[in-house]
Amino acid sequence: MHIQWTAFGEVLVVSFGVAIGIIAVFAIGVGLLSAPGPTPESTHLTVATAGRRTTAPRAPSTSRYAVARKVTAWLCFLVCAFAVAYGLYMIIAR
Amino acid sequence: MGASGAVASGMTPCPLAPGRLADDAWEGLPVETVVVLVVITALLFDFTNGFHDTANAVATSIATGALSPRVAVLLSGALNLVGALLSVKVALTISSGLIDEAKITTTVIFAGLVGAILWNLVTWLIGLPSSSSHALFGGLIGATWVAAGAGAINFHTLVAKVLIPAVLAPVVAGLTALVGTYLAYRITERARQSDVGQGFKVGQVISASMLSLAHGTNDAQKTMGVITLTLITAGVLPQGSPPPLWVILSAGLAIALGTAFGGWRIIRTLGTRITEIHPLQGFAAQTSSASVILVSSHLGFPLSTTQVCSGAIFGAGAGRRLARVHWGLAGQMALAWTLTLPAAAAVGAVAAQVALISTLGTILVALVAIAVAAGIYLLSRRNPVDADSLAQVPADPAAVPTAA
Repeated sequence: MHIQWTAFGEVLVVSFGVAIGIIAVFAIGVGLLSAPGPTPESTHLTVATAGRRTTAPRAPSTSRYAVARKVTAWLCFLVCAFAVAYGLYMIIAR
Repeated sequence: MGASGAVASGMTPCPLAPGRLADDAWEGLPVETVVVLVVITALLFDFTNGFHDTANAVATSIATGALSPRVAVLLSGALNLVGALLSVKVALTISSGLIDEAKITTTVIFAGLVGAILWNLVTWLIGLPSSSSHALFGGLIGATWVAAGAGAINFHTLVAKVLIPAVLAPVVAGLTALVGTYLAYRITERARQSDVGQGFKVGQVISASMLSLAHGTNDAQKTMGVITLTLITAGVLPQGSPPPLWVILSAGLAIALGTAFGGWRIIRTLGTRITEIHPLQGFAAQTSSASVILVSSHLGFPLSTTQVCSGAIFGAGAGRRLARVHWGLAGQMALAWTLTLPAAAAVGAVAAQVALISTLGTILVALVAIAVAAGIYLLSRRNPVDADSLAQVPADPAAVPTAA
């Protein structure tokens, strides 16, 4: 009796790799979009001037970081969208 | 349903001369009556296939609240219909090489369908997910065995393409979902959990849609194959004909209606009784299932959608630290999966034995099948499960904790 063990192995390796890849990339995207927001301490500098404590906006590096995070997140979702499109292709072309 | 990637090898030409009925069991009945009876039976099977397998695509989405129960089954039904219409190749043989299709007659098809329908209804009544494809294969094997003997059954194909995948499919999907869930929790552990949940709910809607689409493409085509072969056997269509438009539409509509009808009992089992599903786990389970199903289909390797999805939910449950997974239910499901093929075969064999006697025998089989189906429906009304009651069912408290 000939059992196609190679085909079984192929299904295991490919589907495992594809699924783990999509889940991980999507999770990275969700994680980046859901990262804890900046606290007042992180967005403003506390400055002591003549005995009075005032706050001033921190340098724009924090907002740049937030933008980079969003862009990376949406790139992750784009990768997942390509995977979905390829899945649709596999369904339709079959 | 079941076998997601049935082997694509072209519609098997019918060995019978056009215009001649397959056997003498239908003697005395006009061809049109025979065709209508078998077509209705095939569409009924397609309907049971739909509501039996709704859970595969939507159970975890309903459990996490990503979709409301009614919206979930309507969306899944619509996508099943789209899936049925997407592929016009209809390259599935109705038996995937399990039986010698030259030996298939209208009586064998009818009896096999009766076996599959009744097994689907029994497992639906007790809320156990089982493969509709395996039920169909079992019914056909049993009926063929009675009609043409054991020599008409390819046992090698049975082992290689049904039994071994039945063992491996849930393990592969479960392992994938387990690792995926664990990894996703690690990646998102420092993020705001409420936002993470919302993000994965969106992902769940997409992955559930993919599963529904794949299901419609695979399973509706199997019924199209059954009806087309019946039409060829009865001489209504010439040999080698593709399915007519009305067959494609009716099979697509039957599975879509069945899906939209909502197999709430099995949805409850998969969505709430295995483990308490979080959106991340639902996404991981559905993505793992879709990946395993599509890859195996692409490689021409049949797997049961039901077994893949069930295994993935168990894996997703085990992948979350301190999650409670009801492993006892896995044993019940494994028992149902083990029994599906022989039980459907037994019913198919008995149905064929009686139906092959005469036209009266065939009518008797149809009446008994209707009576049993009605009885199962009445039994189900004693403990009805619907969309409203589904939302009130908590996760099974008997579930035991598992290590992450």
